[in-house]
Amino acid sequence: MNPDHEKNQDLMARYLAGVADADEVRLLETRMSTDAALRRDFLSHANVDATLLASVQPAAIEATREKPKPTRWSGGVARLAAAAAVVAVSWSAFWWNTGGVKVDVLAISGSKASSWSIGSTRRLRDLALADGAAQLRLANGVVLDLVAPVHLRFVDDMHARVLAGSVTADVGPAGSGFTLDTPSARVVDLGTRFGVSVLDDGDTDVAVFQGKVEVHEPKGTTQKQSVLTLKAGDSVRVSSQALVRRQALIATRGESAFVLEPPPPDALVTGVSDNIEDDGFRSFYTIQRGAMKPGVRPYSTLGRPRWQAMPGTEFPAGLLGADVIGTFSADRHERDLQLDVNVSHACTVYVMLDTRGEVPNWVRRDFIDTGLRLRSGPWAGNPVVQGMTTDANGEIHVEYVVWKKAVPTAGTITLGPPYPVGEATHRAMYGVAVK
Amino acid sequence: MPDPDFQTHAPFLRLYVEHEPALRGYVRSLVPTLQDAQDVMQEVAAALWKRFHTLSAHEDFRRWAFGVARLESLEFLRKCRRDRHVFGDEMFDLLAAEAEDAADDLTEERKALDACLQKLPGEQRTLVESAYAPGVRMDELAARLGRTAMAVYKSLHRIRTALIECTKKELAKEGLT
Repeated sequence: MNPDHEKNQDLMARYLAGVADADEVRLLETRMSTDAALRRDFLSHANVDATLLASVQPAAIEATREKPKPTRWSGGVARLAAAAAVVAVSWSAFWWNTGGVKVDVLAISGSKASSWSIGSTRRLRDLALADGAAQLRLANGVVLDLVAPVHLRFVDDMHARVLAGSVTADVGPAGSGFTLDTPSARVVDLGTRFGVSVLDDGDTDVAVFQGKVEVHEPKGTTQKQSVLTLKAGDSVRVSSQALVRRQALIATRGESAFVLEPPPPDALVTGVSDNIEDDGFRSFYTIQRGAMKPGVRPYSTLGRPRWQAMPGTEFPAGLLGADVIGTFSADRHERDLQLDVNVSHACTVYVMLDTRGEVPNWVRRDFIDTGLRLRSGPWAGNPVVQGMTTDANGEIHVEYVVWKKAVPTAGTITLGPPYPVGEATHRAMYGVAVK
Repeated sequence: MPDPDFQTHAPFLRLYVEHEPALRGYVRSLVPTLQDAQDVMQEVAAALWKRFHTLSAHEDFRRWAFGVARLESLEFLRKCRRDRHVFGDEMFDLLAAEAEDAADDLTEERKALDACLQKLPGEQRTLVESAYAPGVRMDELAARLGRTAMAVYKSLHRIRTALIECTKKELAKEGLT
């Protein structure tokens, strides 16, 4: 062993810690310049040092978060950082079983399913899913749904950071105040079910399914904090420049309760927007991709009614597997409604019209009556079904005629208003599916 | 800066993710502290993204990325040389060249590191986890542990030394050294 080994190690330790003085740096430099083995040892130390940091904290994300600089959140670098952190699960290839937050695994799919069992309890600080999905319950009853690709870091039971991807939180009374931080926003629960998606450019989508949330500027912002309260059915996109605007379309999955999911790269429906511009109007449409089948929600904000086959018939085979666009029930009052649906390739757009209403001119003009019928239900306590009688099962259903339009290529299809003014209260908003 | 969708940049992301650990280690060997390395890596990522269209063959990504990382590290050192104690240009060039030459071996060492981390005694694991946690200040950590900052630095250095020794043994078992 080199007789100066201890001294070399001491110098290296001080240099790599950033505390070596000028003489120590010169001495280490002199020794390294003539000692190839020492240089190779130095490279190994630097390698381990960097790897430990990346393993404990995926640094591209963390550095950006801890030292916010506007230019670094713009465009590609944030996208790069977020996407890299998601894809590179190996950065967190180990996490320590000591510390972290205790979670019960309620559901798991994808590659993690081989090592995690449903019902097991784990301690987690950092969770990155490259595929599949997970449903976790914290000790305070908060249930989190994560859909890959996603990267979540727990601070404690009441606080987590979404570094990339989509997380939906169902917060009970014990979890009130549960907080999700993202690069561009801090979302604080007010007793609710809500979802947060961090997009690959660092923007954040927030959608509220039940109750209310507060949306704050992100942690560490030096400007005066502003707060926005969102209610059920609202969604906004918060940019990294703290610009907030309505987010008209959110992607969801799940039948009993909505779960946010990231859009697939080959999405057929790439956007939905409307011409409603009221102040404070933040209602969202939902897209449930490939989900059309009995039991799927026709509307974004109504929990009970589901698409059903007509009694004694099969569900129309041609509709099965279509993307379901959940309209919101209040749309039916919009006499000038323009609902734009953007598609990425040729497809068929289906519009389901309440049989009790007149067929709008724009439907007669552009669509073909398929002769198919569907129904939605059961309905209860809603003016849409006021005056209707219950069926043999004591339930009320609304019946629809299915119209369709062939769309030859990628582009935008504009749907019009469902009813003339004054006729909408006791009629259902139309449903939309695309396949 | 170009801002097309995620899919358009899948090749870049795939290459970056594949080579990022090597780049991070490379940059770490060229700048004095971990925080410096993090700062430089931000610039490296931005520069690679911006110049990706100039890369003619994806097979050359690592060599090209190392070149970009070397330039960004050099730029960083030039800026901080006035008030920081850093290696001179000759040592910088020597380390840069040798780090690039040793990149494959260092990659193997990183792979072996996972197994070695699992073998660390609990106390050492806890110290590593604490010291590398986001936003940690070494003086505060040392105060919490009832030790001096320098004592913590030395402990961490000893842990890294032990991990390096362990990785050598792991690689020897696999016949890679």
